[in-house]
Amino acid sequence: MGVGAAFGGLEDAPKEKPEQLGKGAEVDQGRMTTLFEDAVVRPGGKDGLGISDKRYLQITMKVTNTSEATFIAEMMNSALVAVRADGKPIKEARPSATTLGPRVVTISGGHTYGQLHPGVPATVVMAFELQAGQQAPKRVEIDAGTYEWHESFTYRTHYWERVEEQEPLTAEDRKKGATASYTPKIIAQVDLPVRVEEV
Amino acid sequence: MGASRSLVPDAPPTAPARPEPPRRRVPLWRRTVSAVVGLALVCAAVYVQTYVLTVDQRRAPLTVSGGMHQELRTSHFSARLERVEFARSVRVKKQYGTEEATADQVFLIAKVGLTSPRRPLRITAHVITADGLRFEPTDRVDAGATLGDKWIQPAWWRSGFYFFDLPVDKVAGARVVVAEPATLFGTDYMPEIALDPGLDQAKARQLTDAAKDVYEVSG
Amino acid sequence: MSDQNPDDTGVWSPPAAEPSWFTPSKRLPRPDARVWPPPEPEPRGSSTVPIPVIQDGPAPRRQPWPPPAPSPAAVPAPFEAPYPGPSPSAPVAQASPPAQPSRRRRRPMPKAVKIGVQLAGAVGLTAAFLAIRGYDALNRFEKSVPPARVQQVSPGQEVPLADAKWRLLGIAVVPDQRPDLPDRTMIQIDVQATALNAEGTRYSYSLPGFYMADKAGRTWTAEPRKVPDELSPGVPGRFTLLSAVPKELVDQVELMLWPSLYAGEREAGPALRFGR
Repeated sequence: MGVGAAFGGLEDAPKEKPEQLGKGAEVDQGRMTTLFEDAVVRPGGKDGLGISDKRYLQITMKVTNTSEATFIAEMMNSALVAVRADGKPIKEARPSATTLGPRVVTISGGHTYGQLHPGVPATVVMAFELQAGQQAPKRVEIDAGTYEWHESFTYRTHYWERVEEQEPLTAEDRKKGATASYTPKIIAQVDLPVRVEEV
Repeated sequence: MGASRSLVPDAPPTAPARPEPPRRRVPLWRRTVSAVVGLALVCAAVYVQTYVLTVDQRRAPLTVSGGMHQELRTSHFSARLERVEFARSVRVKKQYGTEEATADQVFLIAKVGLTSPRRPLRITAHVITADGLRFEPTDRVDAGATLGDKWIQPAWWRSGFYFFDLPVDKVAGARVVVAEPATLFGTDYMPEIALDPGLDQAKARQLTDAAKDVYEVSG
Repeated sequence: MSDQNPDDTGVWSPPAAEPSWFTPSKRLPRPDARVWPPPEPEPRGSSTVPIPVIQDGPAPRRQPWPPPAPSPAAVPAPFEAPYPGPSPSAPVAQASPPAQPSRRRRRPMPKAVKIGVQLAGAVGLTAAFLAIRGYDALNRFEKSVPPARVQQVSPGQEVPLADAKWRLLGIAVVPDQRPDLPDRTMIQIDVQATALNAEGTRYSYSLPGFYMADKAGRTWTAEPRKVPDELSPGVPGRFTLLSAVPKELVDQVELMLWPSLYAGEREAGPALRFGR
């Protein structure tokens, strides 16, 4: 306690700036390594993803499960904390209940599946549906979080958990009566140019 | 006697006052030994606490292991590994049409027989590789064609398949483990059965090289 | 211990008939006191000890004279005021003779007995600790999985369970059996449910747990084949179930009903068992 006080408290450690990366960058997220390959706007139907009269923003990644067990592709939904298209958030760290998140699948041989087996690289696509007439974004920026093999304080059990950081309380949190506010730790921000693919 | 009692207070003051019941002096060596023994007992008590199972350990399953065709029994269910085969794709024949699933790597197809001593159960499976990785059954093959979807009931054995999409180099030493589905918060001391097909490097190579192109099952 | 007592002069050596460890023993040696000539009686009013109040009514109880030989438990009082009566050596009136606090020391227990008692205490405490822990664990388990309370229903009876009344209509062998599975027989079970209130209408979509059970407690699934589209309070609805049971048990298996699939899976809480 005294040591903590002497060094100016425990909460004021300066936040590390997330790494700024671009297309083709590989990020080690603790539980998986993610190679950001591409971002495309294309109509649905390709590889069995989506329906053909709608357009989707698809972020394509090569993900290798570096943990010891199979997990589902939906895990990338929380591993990639937030996504912004031209600076406008299309997936938020704290999603509101009203918006359905993006669909995350693995793709192989023209089919969509949902598993990532340990040590096996797989192509993962995160697909956002675009509204009719919506302009295709020029760039997307992805916030990559990280996982750690976590030991629970109360029961000493172990499990994978997304690393979170405490952040100052916002006025909204105070109104809700929260005493602490956590956000996922961002280790890398990946900026991808968006290609547009017509049929 | 009674008379002498009343005389006690009148004893001359010079009479030697009877001291408190004498404290026998405990020799130093005995006190040292007692202290050491006491400390040892405290240490032993603390040490014994390290043998208390942690939550992780209690939730870890109790594994019964065995090889091919061996009938392995737990208090919740029994299992035997009837056959292990490899294929590059699986064709599931359904009532209307067929469904084909192609392996990313190679399908390990485990034919397992299961029965339950007392009540209907569902049993899932996973593969533990020689280096400890855990592969869930592949979702490429329709779950309806697997044994994980069926009721395992008393009085008769039910045979069926579990399909795993494994890298070829992980096949050697892989074991098929069957267990009841995990609950959300885990259950203590659940049984599982590890079925070892006995695949060494040579046999694994031979079997995966000879993997069938299409394996047909009905679903 | 007292064998090594340095103050022990040997004069007050223990009596020949040594009592055992749990009876009082060897009296303590006392300092010498003048016996003869008898001491002067204390002058009146010099006593610092309050004189006992003599109440009206019956005279205070006196100890008989001569006093009874002191029982082993009766202990010499360390100090007593002389009775301020005519005879200075008369025994002191005692309200409750043996209740005086004891300064006597007991003979120590033999070592073996002492260790035995300590061991027994340790074992007893451990047993109590484990018992309480086990009881607590059981209690918590039963809070999450309440023990099964199976009510036996005699044939033809209609019995309420969880917002509905249930009646077993009949169990029949299905005419077309699977020839490839000769060891088991398909049976069809018809059950009638009557919702008692609006809550009870849920059974048309949220199915109860149906099982067939034999005498040994083994159970088999009974899958609903036909379910009433809608239940309304007071109107009976019919569930048709199919179940595969061992051939030799076709006439013995009985329908078990749990108020929900979840309860049936865990065999927890109230249930009905329809006799045949």
